[in-house]
Amino acid sequence: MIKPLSLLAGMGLYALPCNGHAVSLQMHSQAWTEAGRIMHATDTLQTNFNGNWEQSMGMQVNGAVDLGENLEGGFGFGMNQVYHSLGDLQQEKFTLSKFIDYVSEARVTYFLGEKANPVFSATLGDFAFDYHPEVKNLGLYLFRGPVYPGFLVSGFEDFHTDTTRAAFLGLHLHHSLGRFQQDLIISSERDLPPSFDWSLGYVAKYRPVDGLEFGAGVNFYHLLPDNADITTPSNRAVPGLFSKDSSLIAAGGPVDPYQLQYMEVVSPGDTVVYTHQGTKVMAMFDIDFKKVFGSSSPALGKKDLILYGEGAIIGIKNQGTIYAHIGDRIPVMLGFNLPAMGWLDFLSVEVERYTAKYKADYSKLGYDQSLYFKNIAPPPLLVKKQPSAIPISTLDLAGNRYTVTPDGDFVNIQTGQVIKVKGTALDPENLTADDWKWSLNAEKTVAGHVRFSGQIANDHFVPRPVRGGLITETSGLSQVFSSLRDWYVMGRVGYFF
Amino acid sequence: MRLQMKSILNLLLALAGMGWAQDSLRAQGSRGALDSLEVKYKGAAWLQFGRVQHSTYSLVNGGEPNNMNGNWVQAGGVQVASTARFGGGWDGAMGMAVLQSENARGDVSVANNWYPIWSTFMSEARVTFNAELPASQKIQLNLGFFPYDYNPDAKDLGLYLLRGYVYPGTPVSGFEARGTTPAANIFGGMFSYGIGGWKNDLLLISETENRPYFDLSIADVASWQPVPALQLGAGVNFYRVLPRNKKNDSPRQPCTNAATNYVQIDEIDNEVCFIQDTLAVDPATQTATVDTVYGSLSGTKLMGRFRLDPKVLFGWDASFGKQDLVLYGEAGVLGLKDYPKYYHDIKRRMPVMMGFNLPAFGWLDKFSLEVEYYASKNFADYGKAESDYSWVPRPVSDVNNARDDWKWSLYFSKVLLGHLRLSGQVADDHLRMFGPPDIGFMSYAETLNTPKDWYWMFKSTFFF
Repeated sequence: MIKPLSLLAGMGLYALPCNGHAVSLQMHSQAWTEAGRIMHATDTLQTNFNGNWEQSMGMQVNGAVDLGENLEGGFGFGMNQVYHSLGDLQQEKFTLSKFIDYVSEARVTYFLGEKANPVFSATLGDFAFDYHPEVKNLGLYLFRGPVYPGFLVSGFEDFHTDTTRAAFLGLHLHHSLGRFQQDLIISSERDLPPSFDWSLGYVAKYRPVDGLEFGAGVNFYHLLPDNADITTPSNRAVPGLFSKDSSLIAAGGPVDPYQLQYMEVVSPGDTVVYTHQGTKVMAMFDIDFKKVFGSSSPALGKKDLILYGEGAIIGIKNQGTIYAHIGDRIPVMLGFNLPAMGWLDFLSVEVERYTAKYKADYSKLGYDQSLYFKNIAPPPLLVKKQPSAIPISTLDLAGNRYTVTPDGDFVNIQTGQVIKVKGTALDPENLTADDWKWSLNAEKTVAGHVRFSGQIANDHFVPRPVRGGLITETSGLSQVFSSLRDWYVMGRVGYFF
Repeated sequence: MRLQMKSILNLLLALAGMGWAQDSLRAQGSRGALDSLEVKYKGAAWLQFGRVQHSTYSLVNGGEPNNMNGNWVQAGGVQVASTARFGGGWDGAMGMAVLQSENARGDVSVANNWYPIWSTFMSEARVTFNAELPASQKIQLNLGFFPYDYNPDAKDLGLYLLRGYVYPGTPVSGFEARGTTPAANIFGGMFSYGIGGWKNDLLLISETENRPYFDLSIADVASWQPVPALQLGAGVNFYRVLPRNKKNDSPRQPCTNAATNYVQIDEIDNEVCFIQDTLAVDPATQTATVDTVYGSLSGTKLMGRFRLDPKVLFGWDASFGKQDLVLYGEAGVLGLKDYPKYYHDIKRRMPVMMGFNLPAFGWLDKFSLEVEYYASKNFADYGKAESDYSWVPRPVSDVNNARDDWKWSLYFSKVLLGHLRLSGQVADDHLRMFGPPDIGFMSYAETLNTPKDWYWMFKSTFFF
């Protein structure tokens, strides 16, 4: 039934231009090359990224079409050339260059008022939205990353901070009234499992005086599941889904909750099924000291001396013993644009604190960054049946490569080397060494269209997988930085119009 | 830690320096409004096909399935690109393409296993700054992924300075191969300075073509046109002078061939990433004194070239085509440093090519004959370098490496109606082919190894 309907819809779209008027098309493009290096990565248990060079390039073409007095269409596509991460000496010999093609925009927008700053607009399709443009790297918690587990997302010129590329598929309603504006977004999940669930987000911002802005928002993540039995796992859809968890619990003795996959018996009669659904709330502010104090010094750049910040709760509801403390689900970041005196567009420093105790590894959730043919080299996911909302355990991390001592430390099976894990920056179940993140970002635009940018940071970067053999991939599922000693440097040159 | 601090400082200095450089250069060579924008689009689509008429040793790499005799070679592609001029001396370009390249069929015994390959790629992504300075001086800065061809006369053979490894010294060529087309071939930066007939290009190149990836090479190419009819050029390439990981490029023991197991393919290969040089043999005990020689993928290439146009020199009649009668040549040194056994004679690391544009009287745009002499006695293969980071050539039994010293190529091209280009080639060059699905990987060994070997190709392109 769907196919004939799609055909009819397609025919209808095909007929549209015949009945319309001449349209005006405005093209926007960008191209860039970037390179950098992981200077230090403490965690080498799975892959040694120390000294790995990161290099890529990309281009993107977007078009904005004036479809009528109050209607605009946007379309675009892009291409990235990327490489497998290098890993160690043996792994890097298999490194391949791969091209990633993507749709950067596919939307139609109805607007009332001025197109650039409408009183009301409704956008349907594949679109970009950035509620906090001052953020260069850390932050933007409301729409980036899952809730359970509460992994944060950042990285150099991350896909989700680039407003020229669409990160949302769905509907966006915008309303502006003087110094107040609000946005409602209904979007379909297409980055992380469980896929195709619908989330409902809302952001309101108020500017009481020039130079000062407050905002707040809420995101009902995975509010409308595509399949409720995946979003909140149940035995009904997959018989025996809980059997591994049940066996662990039935064995008696203390149960490490990280070893569970879907459910936990917290106390007799109190069974918790870990759901992917959750609610995020966010608050933000920007203060432009130049405007607040009426400074009109021509030496200062437009972006200089802006202080900005954001805080969030990644899941307001406690779940089981893993998500029992709301204090560990509250990331807070502060950023400040240092005075660059016109030499740079901006020079910003950002700092973040987030006390989640688990390792940010997507292999139980099922995030796939594979660059290889999916059918012959699936990524090393730890849960085969359904995505799990529980982070990985010490045993998961040990895999087939290490045995775990009673003290929680690792012994390399091949070499016999003992590696201290418990209580260190390698401990996946009590990771406290990565609570602080920081980022130093700079950007300079010349001739109005040529842009140089760079970043030195210890953030939530997830490197691409390592190609460990002719048809195998490893890693690519974990954030690489786990202690304050870790950092990387990136630079980019490109143009846009 | 010192290196790390240097990286940070360099990044900050580069970013800050851009602002200063932009302002000071604009003052000297203003080129109009800062935010004027002029965008042009261009595109091309092509189909090419041909046939390997004879290949003597192509089955060496991968066994009998790799037999390329009589193999049809075919590909098609589409490319879209744009250039943008921003004012203030800045411009940029980007391009993307889709290529349908088809596996070689290989031997008839594996003809049942075959499929086409669709691949997308970026053809360009650069920003460029141009400034004209007093006294006819020009400077240009290129950053990103951009095309660079220091010898546009070379259609097939030559271009030794920037193509291929040094150790093993394996020249690169093929029908409209990379480096001879407008597609980008340099990832990095280039600073050019010109005054009158003199031009100098300083390049920083990140290695993206051959493994190990991302090593940095520094090259300098100079050209001089003393009179309109004559152009001379020379260059040096400090190939992989800044290795990303020195252990990759200059391996010491223990080194392994885990990636390819070439030892299993070639039973006589016991030199994974070092040379075992026999210094002496004791006739009484029949024991050998063997020296283990370590080396590196890094090395220095040199290049010299010339271009002579007798039409201009002697003021000959305009009935000749613009490219007719041009004589050009290039020579290279693939590695200044000697190593025993395989790289002991610098003369055997010196490819020399000569080309001549035959008179086509406007019937063809280009009609050229190129001949090359390269006396290397190593097997023409860089599979060990690609797969095992080995700088040592691959010893192959039952192959006569003395039979591939001479290469040749006959090439033509013609543009019709301003936008349709036909081109073709008959050659015995350094062609390397992607193996049939039974092998499933690029053959890094040359397909044509004896004077009996040759192939032909034809290409039809439209462009705008």
